[in-house]
Amino acid sequence: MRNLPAFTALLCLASPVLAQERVFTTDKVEIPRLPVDAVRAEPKPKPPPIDFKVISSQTRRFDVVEAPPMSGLPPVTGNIAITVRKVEDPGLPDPPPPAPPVVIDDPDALARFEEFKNSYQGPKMLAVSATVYDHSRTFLRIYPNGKTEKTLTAWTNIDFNHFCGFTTYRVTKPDETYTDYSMMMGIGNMDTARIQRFMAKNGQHYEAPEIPELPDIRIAGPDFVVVEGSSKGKAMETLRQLHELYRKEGASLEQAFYDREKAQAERREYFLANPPKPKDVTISFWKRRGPSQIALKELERRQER
Amino acid sequence: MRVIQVSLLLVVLAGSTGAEQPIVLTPGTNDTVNADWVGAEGRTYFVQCSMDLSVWLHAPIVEYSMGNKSYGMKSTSPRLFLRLSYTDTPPIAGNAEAMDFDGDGIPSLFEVAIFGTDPLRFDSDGGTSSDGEKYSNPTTTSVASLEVFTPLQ
Repeated sequence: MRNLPAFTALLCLASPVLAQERVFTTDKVEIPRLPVDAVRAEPKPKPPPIDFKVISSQTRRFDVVEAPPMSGLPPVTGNIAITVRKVEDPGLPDPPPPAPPVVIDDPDALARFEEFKNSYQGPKMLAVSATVYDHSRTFLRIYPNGKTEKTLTAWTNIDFNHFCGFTTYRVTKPDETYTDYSMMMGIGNMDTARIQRFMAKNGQHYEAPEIPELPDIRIAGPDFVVVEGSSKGKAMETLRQLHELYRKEGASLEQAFYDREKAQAERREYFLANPPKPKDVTISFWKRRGPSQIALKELERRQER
Repeated sequence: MRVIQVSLLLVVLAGSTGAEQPIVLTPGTNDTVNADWVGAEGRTYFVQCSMDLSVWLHAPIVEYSMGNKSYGMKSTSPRLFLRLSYTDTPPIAGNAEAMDFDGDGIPSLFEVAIFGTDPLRFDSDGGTSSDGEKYSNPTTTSVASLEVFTPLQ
């Protein structure tokens, strides 16, 4: 172990890129975390069961087909009983009216709110299309503000499947103002060996796309090559931000990807071993004395339209 | 979580005219949902429910004419759709529950609360005999799937 620093230094000399990962932007790019002092609401307690007095009841049986609990599984099928009942009014109290708007008068909270207003530049939408080849190279199309006329296309050595676990990243400028980018990503995966086998089996030839030379991400970190588009526009900024984000958080994004895959596989196994069955349904109706205050307000609002 | 379930409820007003006010769904207490609407003069309303927008079942509800109509509802299904259907045929002596709107021999309340048939269709299953004929003669119908637990009080 004592020789490890010397070995690392030697490796850095032999491979300078290891010590000098490419920095893509001077802005701070990160996935926003919940504030550590955020107050989480207590889960709502389960309400007590209602003791209904049944006036009339009818039950019918139906064959039902429901969506599977996850994609790739067979649909949930079965024969269920649906019971529709008329019951006596259980005399439940009306729900409380909505709470009045919170008045912020705490000077600390007001100061924090003011600071937030000054720094937060608002949310922005990003449209990204990613085609991942063999989990090692991704062809990207970035549409700034969802518009296609300023599209930028690029190859990257990042497996963009790792970007699937979150939707928003934050970019903080040196002056401490920040913007949240909500990314809508369409992603597809290409297994070139599998496509080649399939095409050969059908007497056809598969022409894999020509992927420009890109360094190994494990040695040189994330990198990209622009194929088409301006090197100065908004899309380029996005490309740099995404690579900067991966440079900083790639390891955790990759780990999260494998954790998700594992959890998905376990869930799939569970549902295959324990296929869900549709459950019988009971629907109870009762006549109320009159509308609740919330309903009355809504009825009045609709009549005014 | 219940808020999400309530938001999944969809309301369709069958045969609605422009001035009609649709049914209003609001959360009640104990994970229940309240359904309210304002009736129009001379109109008789029925409530239908569905879990898949394909199969519609009648709720045991017949409401006639103007004023606020208020019902509570609790379902064991996480997803439920409601809609109103109605007729403008005036009921005799204003008694819509006892009225046989479709002439099949069954009063409308019995259709929705006991037999589960359509109170506005002479023949709910599209066969050749009326709903009344079917339920008065068990040999001509497939009522095996229908269980009536408690007679209407």
